[in-house]
Amino acid sequence: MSNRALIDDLVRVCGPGGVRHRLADLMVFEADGSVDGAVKTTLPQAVVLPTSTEQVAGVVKIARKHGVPVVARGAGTGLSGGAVAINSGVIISLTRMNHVLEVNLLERTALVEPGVVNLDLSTHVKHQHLFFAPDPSSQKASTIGGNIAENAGGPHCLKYGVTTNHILGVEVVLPSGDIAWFDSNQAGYGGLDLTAAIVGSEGMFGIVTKALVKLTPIPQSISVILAAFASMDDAAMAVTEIIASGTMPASLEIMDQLSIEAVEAAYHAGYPTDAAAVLLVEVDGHPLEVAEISADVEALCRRIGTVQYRQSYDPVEQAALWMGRKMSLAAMGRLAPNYYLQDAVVPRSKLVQTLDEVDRLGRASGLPVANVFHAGDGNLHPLILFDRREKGAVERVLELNHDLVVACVELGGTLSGEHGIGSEKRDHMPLIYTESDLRAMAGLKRSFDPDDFFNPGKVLPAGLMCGELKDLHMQRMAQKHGIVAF
Amino acid sequence: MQSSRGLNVSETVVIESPAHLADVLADATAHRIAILPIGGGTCLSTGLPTNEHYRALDLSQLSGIENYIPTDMTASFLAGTPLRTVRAALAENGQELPIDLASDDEGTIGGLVATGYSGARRYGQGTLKDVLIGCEYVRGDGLLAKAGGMTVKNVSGFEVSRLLHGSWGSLAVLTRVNLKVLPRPKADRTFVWQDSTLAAALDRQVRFLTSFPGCIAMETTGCGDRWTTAIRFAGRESALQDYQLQLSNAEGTPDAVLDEWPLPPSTEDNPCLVANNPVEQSRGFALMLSTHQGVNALSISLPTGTVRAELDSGLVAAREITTHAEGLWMIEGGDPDWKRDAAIWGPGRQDIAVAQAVKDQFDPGNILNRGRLFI
Repeated sequence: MSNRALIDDLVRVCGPGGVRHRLADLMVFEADGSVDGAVKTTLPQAVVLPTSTEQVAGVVKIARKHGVPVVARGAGTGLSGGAVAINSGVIISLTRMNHVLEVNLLERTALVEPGVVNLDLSTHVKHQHLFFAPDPSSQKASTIGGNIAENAGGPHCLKYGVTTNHILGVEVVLPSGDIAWFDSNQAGYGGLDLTAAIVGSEGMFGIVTKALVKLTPIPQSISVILAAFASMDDAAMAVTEIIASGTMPASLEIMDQLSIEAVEAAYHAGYPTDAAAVLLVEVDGHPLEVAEISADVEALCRRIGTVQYRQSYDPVEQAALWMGRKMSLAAMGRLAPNYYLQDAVVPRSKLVQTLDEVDRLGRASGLPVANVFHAGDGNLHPLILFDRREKGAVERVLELNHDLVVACVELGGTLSGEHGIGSEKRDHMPLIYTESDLRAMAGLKRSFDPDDFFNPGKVLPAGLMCGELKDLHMQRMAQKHGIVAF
Repeated sequence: MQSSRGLNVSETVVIESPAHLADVLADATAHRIAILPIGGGTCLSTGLPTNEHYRALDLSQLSGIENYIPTDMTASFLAGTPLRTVRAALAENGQELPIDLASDDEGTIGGLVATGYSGARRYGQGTLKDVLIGCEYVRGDGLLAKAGGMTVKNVSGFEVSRLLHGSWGSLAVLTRVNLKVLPRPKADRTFVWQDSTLAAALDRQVRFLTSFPGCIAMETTGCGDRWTTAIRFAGRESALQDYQLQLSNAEGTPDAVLDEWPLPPSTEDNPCLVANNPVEQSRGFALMLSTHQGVNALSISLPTGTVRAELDSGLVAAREITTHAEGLWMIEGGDPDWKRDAAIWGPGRQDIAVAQAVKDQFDPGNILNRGRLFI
């Protein structure tokens, strides 16, 4: 069937205003937030902007009829090439499904559509003294649906957990076009927690069209602490000792000297530019408890040798302190035309060792590397700075990225803490998983999407979804146990 | 032939290693032998009655701490590790898991993850799913695999670990679980009030819910005209003293102040109806149950919507109760003869087709806990 026939069918479901198919429109959806050249993308054949679950289901059925793959997409802020087409097909942009449908104050839950912007949800329930805890740096733009697909994190996930900890149920459109509701409470009640499988599945199992999310009470008291250190090792040691002391702050973030320099040049956040590292600590809870824990943190930082220490209970000043951290990626433009953001995680006790490796590998590559990261979680974000106009720059960056990934894995870490695998990191998956591990994941994908119809070519290394491998394990078993056929 | 809690066990295989388990399950799939994984054996009386003849798996040899670095606040345990071993190891370092169990629980960490048990702290601190960061498992078809790892954040690959949480061993047998652990709070306090009616006790819970969002658990237990409502806080001593003052001003002096949450005795020999539904629905259901002659005792954790009802062993009335139950519920324990005609796993599920597709991928021979479960 022709592309014209596909477009005509899609228009019948979403209306002419809900379908984009001209080149200039399609190019908007060809990329996400990942570095151009780091992931393969193709132009989609069409982009649809549905406004209801039924429209999403209708689009899925049409795409199936035309034999073209489907990619669900939120705001397109992803950093791993997850919400882009790599085999053409139809992109379903869910940004018009952006309503908070219901807020239940007694249950502390909200039923939302996937296109609701993360920060908008917190703003919506702020006057009820509630907020949505996952707070990725992209929260001003990224959507709840995208957060669910990537199992997004953020600075406050140290205390409150990542997205999966806050999703109680989802309505999904399945690859068949059927609509289902998955309830996380099924766990333990004889069913399966299919919500748990959907979160972090990068749109490969189903398209989330509604989500029941947990809301968190806004803490009674919040203290934000800035502690500057003369060395990164001291800052990392402070993190280790705070965690070891049995205190669980809401967040523990570190920025290195290069990041401080960029942030101060761009936003004047008030960070000391002569410090090697700045540690941001947020403590929240009962006011008396916050005061005690803050005093403990201060004593600990002073013992380690903080060179500057500030603490604030004032929301305006706190916002200024956080602004530097939250805008740090945008500030990198002060240092270089381009950056590549890495997302590896290591066990917390390996933080200092890992940062040393990052420094060593960065120097060896000749590329500057800034560090802004969720230190309490061990979630590193080395920012490789470069100028893509220089010949071979992207290749050098990808080579350094590979070396950084290998170093983190060798220290017991993993590929991604919150950005997802997408197409960017899928070829790194064998670094941490065996063939059996990956086959089991492919089996889970197959149980939702046997035809590899939703977001193909992501997460799983090439070849894992093909028929030969699908049956390989069963064939081996049959041989081993002398069975002719199952 | 042995009988284990009403289940027919033809033979028991002591599992020596994950690789051994993989061989045993592959063989069982090849020959369509029903498998009964046994951790601590504390939940065997739950599930549908069945005439299957099981090959039981004794997982007690898969026991021990694989990896525990207190400063990382992560720990990896072999699945058959007794809970008391887990608790003791963590307590030595001032750490814990966010879960309370029956006071005489003899379960294993793998069993706890597989059954998805959670107590009243689920309100403030979540379930084990929230701290499960990885696992190793053997699928029904004998594929030995792992998911996740030892980092507290990880989005590398699909969430198989959390899918296995609460799946009752229907997809795979866990051999290792990796958990994020929590610091033990400096102080832990429970304030208790008595009420003569369940309605008054539930109203008290709702007041707690709206006025004390910082609590980590609350629960009403009792029967007849004796209802005890407990609210629990954890943290610094100064904060707990202030909470006590605020509670006393709002609710009057508590009838008791405890330094430990009152753990219930194990009731595994009695059938127990467990429901999990929205707050208002749970209130109505609990009030209905409290007047029913087939109910011996109730416990209600309203914020989590959990209602547990210890049922009369006569069970005729209990079967009638299940016909009134709404939403999500199940029966723990109970006599096999009675359960034969009862909907042990509650009402039908809308997501059964997808759940069955997942089951077929993980356990294509349908050997794991065959006949006991929903899928």
